[in-house]
Amino acid sequence: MEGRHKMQPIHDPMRKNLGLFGAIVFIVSESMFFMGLFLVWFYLRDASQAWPPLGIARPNIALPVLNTVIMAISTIAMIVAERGVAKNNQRALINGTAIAAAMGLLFMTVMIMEFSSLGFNPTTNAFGSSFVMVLVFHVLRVFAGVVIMGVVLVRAFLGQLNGSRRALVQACAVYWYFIASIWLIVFYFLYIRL
Amino acid sequence: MASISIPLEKRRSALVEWLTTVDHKKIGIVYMGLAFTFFIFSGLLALAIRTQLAAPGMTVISQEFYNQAFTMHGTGMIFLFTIPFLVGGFGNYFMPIQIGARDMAFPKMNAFSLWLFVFAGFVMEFGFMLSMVANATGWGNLGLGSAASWNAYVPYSTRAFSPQAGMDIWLIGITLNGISGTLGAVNILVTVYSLRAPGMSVWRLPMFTWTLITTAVMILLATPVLTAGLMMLTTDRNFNTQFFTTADPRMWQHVFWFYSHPAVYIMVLPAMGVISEILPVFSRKPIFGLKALMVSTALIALLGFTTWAHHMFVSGVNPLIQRFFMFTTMLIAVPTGVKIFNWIFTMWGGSLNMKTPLMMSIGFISTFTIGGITGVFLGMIPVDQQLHNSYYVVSHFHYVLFGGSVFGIFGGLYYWLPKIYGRMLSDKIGKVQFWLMLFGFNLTFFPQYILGLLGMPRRIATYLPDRGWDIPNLLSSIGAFTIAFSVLLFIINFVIYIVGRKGEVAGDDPWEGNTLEWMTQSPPPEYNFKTIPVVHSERPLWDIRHANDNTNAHGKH
Amino acid sequence: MLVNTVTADAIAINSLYNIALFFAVIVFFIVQGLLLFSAYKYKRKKADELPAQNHGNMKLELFWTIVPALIVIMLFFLSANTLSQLSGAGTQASPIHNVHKIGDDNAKRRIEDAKRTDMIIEISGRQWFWQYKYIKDGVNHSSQNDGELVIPEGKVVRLDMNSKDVLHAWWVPSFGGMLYVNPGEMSYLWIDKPPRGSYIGQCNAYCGLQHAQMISRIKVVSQAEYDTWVKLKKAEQGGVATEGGNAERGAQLYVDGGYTYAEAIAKGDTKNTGLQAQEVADLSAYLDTLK
Repeated sequence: MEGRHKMQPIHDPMRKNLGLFGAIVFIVSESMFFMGLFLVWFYLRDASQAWPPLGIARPNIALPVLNTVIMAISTIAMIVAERGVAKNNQRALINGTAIAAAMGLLFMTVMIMEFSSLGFNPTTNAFGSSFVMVLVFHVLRVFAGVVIMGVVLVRAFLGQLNGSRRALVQACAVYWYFIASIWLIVFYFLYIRL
Repeated sequence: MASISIPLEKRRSALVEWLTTVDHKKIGIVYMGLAFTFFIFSGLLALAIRTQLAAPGMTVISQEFYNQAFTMHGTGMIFLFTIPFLVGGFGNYFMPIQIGARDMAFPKMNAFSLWLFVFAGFVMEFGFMLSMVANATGWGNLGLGSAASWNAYVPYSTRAFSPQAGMDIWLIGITLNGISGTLGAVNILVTVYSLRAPGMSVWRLPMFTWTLITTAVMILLATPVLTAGLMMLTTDRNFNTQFFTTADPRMWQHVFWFYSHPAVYIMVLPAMGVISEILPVFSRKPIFGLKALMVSTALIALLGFTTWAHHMFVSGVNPLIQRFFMFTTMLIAVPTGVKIFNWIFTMWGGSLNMKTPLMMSIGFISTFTIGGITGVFLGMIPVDQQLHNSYYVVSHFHYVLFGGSVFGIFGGLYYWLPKIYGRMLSDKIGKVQFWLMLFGFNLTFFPQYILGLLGMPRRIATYLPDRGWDIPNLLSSIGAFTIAFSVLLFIINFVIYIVGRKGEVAGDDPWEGNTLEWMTQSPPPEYNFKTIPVVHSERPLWDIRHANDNTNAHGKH
Repeated sequence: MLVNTVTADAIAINSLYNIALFFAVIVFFIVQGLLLFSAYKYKRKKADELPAQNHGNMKLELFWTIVPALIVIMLFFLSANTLSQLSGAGTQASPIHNVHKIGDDNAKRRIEDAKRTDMIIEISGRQWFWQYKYIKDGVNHSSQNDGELVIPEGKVVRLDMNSKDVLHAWWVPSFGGMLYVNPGEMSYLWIDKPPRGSYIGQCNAYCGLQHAQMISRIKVVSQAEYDTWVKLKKAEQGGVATEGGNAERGAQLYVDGGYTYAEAIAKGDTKNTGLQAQEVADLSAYLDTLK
């Protein structure tokens, strides 16, 4: 019986991009998850007299604005990293990813501050539950993104990533752009349009 | 990734090999084996239910156990049998071979999906089984079973009305199962998109693969929404969040049915794919209207996302919205009808090889048609306002999911098990099983249409003798045991002819198959194909078999 | 095909069902006929026979797309038409939404304008029985111990329904129609001029342990019988019932008599009940029907 190592290689240009394509498909399912969260948010909003309900103070917009800036910097850093690896620029890859990851950590820190500064909590009422649920599930994605960036950094230090082996960076970047877009939607509906 | 090679010198014990395998075929077999086990278990629950309902006022099982039994029968059959068997089992095993790939795109993630499914399945069933044993042996009520029915409508499923831990266990099980399914769907889509053999264009995809990717798209879009809802219900129960305390009860129903209506198509589309493979092979003809079948599959998937609120015609949804959902629901009958006629005309004028897989497929078309037609009735709001939640509905979806999916699964098993194990099942036993199953199935479920018209609600543990429901119920119970006996025949067939190696050696291509799985050995080697085949039509093997014909037999368009 | 349809609503649903059944039977026989015919006719006769390799037929595809589409579109319009004939449906363009939040006065007004109503019964769904409250007649009753919902024949009865716990659904097959009964919301159904007789329904939304025992028995009686029944119930309720608008007298009747009307009549001693001779006769007749 032939072993796997004797297999004929498959000359298919798609193979290299499995990771990237997988990330995109996965993002579709992630979007649907957030759609589920937002469906509930809108359903509750339309069914209630006041939104936020009477007696609930509108959340302060300062920290989310800060977080939007942090997210923007992080996204730019990720773009730099992705472009860098395409051109075999290891410094751009490592620095960009490191900055993006640091910004991600900062985002999480600010979010924890935001949670403690909210005048309500998830047990207050349906508004509070829905508000916090959306934020929590977003910040969990940020955490996941930072972990993936950690993997990218390790592999970058090991010299395993370059212009022809960069699916991981691409997947990480596209997922991070997705997280940033979701943040904009969250920021818009939970703070600006509230 | 596929590039990981396991040196043959490093021999592992069989158990470790099965537990750590990333081979799509082994993963598929584990899926099938476990899903079939859950099928047997959930089927036994159905027998308990039918025994209890065989006559009015029976007390064979307690009311409490009855409620748990129908909950676990439903969730077991849906989440632990039909979907994992078709998508995880047949899908994992045959889709990569059918498209000429050597494995799934992400073999490790595939293994992760499998073991997450296994874990979720045991989470769901274990508490229930423990509770069952504890009750039977008199240890008392452990409260580890869920009894909120498969749709877990709030507020009954909230902590106030279902305080037992079993409800949480069930929710966690379903959530994990959904995550496993979503990852599986990602894997399927990436695999088909990127690992097809040269020449395998979209219109040359085998029908099973086509229905599988349609299913994967549906899983990908629908499951996360349910996951979000399940998480909210779980936090409501355990962390005192307030999602479902003030909202109207329809919010949960929307979230639930947004997943669970597409789930019906998730369960039946791959089975349609299976019989779309079997019919042309056993008719020795190309499938009739391949493009019509493919387009109608996609249309069913698309429309499947626009019909969910037809489950809520009596829940108090705005009547104008109800009319929209009535329209989409009735419209979905059209692509379904297209499929049925195309299947029949695949047989028309063919040379029918009357073996068990074909008979199962004919059974599928026959019974599924009845389920489809009664679906139109239930789509009509006034009729649904009369028959919603009645046994008419129970019968309707069993005609679709048993008459459809289960006949499809058995058809697929008779068709593909020779490929998986290299031995043929007994066709004689198969035919006896088919006739018994067809007879038992109609005996079980046709009387339930009558029960629905007579006003029998579903999910009742017992009924009064003055309702005129006795005879249909008794017939239905007899039918259920007939089905059970037919499944037993399959197990016997499997044990003797495949496990006991009594079956004839199958060879590479026992049925004159059309698709690539029949090109490789039975069972296929770990790498599936020595050389990746090149595809010239939707029937690559037909092309090889008839390469020298100058007749009209050519498979190409 | 529906069994024992007695109200206009149920009859309308039934005739819609029968029209659909007509087409269903035709489609059923065409499909099963073609299927069995081809399974019988085209069995393989020779091992090497090779049938014509027919890939499809565009005309046939169009045929079996368009014809079923026309049938379902027709059924859609028939359904919409039937829907607007049902009790309290409103018009095609602005149908009445028969479920609303408790306290939504606008929605309530629309319900009140939806259909001329002779009497209103408030129904509370509970685990696992129905509570009935006759608004005008001041009678409280429930489905426990086989309690019947007694209504007079030929009247348009509106059921104002609400749940005190989980979801329930009101369904009496003979009257046609069903509706969920939700906590925090009002659900409305009409029983449109039911004829005399006994009917039975059952909660049709799974509501927990004794869901199967949540049965509703309905008895439609003559107006005279109904009036007597109301008196009987009011007397049973004693202090909370009223007699001719006079709660004190109602209470007195019960206390003075020392037993209910029914017992009084059974003993042939109606002196203390204050009933008129005709009322005693009605009551006796009614009590006979109960036996």
